[in-house]
Amino acid sequence: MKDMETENQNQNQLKDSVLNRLVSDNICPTSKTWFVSYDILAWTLWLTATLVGALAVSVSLFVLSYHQYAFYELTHDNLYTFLEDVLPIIWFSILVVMVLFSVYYFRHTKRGYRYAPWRILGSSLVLSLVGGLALHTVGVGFSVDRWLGGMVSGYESQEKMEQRLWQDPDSGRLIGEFIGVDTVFPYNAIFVDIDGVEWRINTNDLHKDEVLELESGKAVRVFGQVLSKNPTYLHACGVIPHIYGSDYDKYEIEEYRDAIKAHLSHFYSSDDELSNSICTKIEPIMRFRDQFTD
Amino acid sequence: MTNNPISQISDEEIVSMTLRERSTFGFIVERYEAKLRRYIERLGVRDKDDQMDVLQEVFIKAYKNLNSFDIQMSFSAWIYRIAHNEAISWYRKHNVRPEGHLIADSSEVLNLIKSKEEAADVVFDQNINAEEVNKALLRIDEKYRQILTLRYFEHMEYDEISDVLKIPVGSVGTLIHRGKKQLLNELNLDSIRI
Repeated sequence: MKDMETENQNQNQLKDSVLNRLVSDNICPTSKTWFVSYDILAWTLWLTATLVGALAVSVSLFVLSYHQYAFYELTHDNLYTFLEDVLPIIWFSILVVMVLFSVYYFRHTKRGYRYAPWRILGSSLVLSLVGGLALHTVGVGFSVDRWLGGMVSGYESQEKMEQRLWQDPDSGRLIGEFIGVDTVFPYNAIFVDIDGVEWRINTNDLHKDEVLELESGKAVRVFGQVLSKNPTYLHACGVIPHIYGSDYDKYEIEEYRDAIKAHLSHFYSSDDELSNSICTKIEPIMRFRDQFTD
Repeated sequence: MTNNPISQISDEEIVSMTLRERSTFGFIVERYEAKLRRYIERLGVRDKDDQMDVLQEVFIKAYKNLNSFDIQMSFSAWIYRIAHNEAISWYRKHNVRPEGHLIADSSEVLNLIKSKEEAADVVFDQNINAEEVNKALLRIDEKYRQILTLRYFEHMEYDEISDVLKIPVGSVGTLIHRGKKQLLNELNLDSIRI
């Protein structure tokens, strides 16, 4: 009986002290807007992280699909060294970080804790992949890569990477544009590379489609043998479109790649007049031959 | 108490009333004081004055955050979560190891041990010394003690436990299962038979 009285006393004591403190400290419930805003913020951050993750996927897909047509044989010893050079590690890392962020933010939504982290992780990853594929399909990956390349000096866009890999006269690789035909030697094209150096380019060994591509005035990649640096003179063995400087779609590039491959195969076909060309002795062509004869 | 019409009103309705009239919050205090006092005592806040301080903070925080209460979850789970957090921050602030005081009676302890769910594959003798079980409960990991307390002493459902501890519902079952296993390992079966 006495215990019950004490308990009742304690209960009233607590109730009174709580209510008194609410009055004396003028405590009011925090506004509902604050809590709703917090929840909206968590969802927004989750959405942002998922979107950035999707963006990372779309740029990665663009980079990977772009490099399908990169003719790694012409610039690298093998596929491994090529992949090491071009794999979009930074975008893969961004994807991983963003997926982790989206798990974190989702868990901070009102009922996010009810779901197992691996389930949130899996669905965030799937959302980023699906979103990334959609963004890539409408060309967002390409635009983001190009935009970042122009805006951020430290970011190596595909354009910059292409320039790093291809503007290398010592290895017989140039990026630039055709500006005219040599009036004295009509098979020599006049070409200006992206460093502003003017070259005479011997087009004798090029396929007619390559000559057309070169003379279209679009930015192109040329590879061959540098015969002289003063004056600058290059014997061209192949012309490849430079995607960034042009408006090719990926199907055109794919067709072009097949045509180039077919053309290059002439350099190592014993019954072809091109088999005695200077091009048969340059390293990229030899690598190509090795690949085809394997 | 049962004749009091306020006892017929749900927690959620009292919350709505409190948002219009502050004094109604007293009913929440009355309704939950004893339960929460017992709960924080089980979590390790044993001194009566400390309990009073912790409970006061629990109710003040509950009042301040009334608008964050989600009508889709149970109010009981919501306020237990506040009490849980407050008890933990209390013993962190006081730099003491949480030593639960499982003031359970034998029937509660038996209930825990005999429970068939997530069975630990051990058949128990029904004559069990509750004191030994209590001691064993104090020796198991804190996370298991917390979840077993909520399940078997506060008689909460899995989704309520999920709301109190802010863990996935699926993890509740796993933790209970592991907690019971650890408890069984801690129990010296020979010593607990009378």
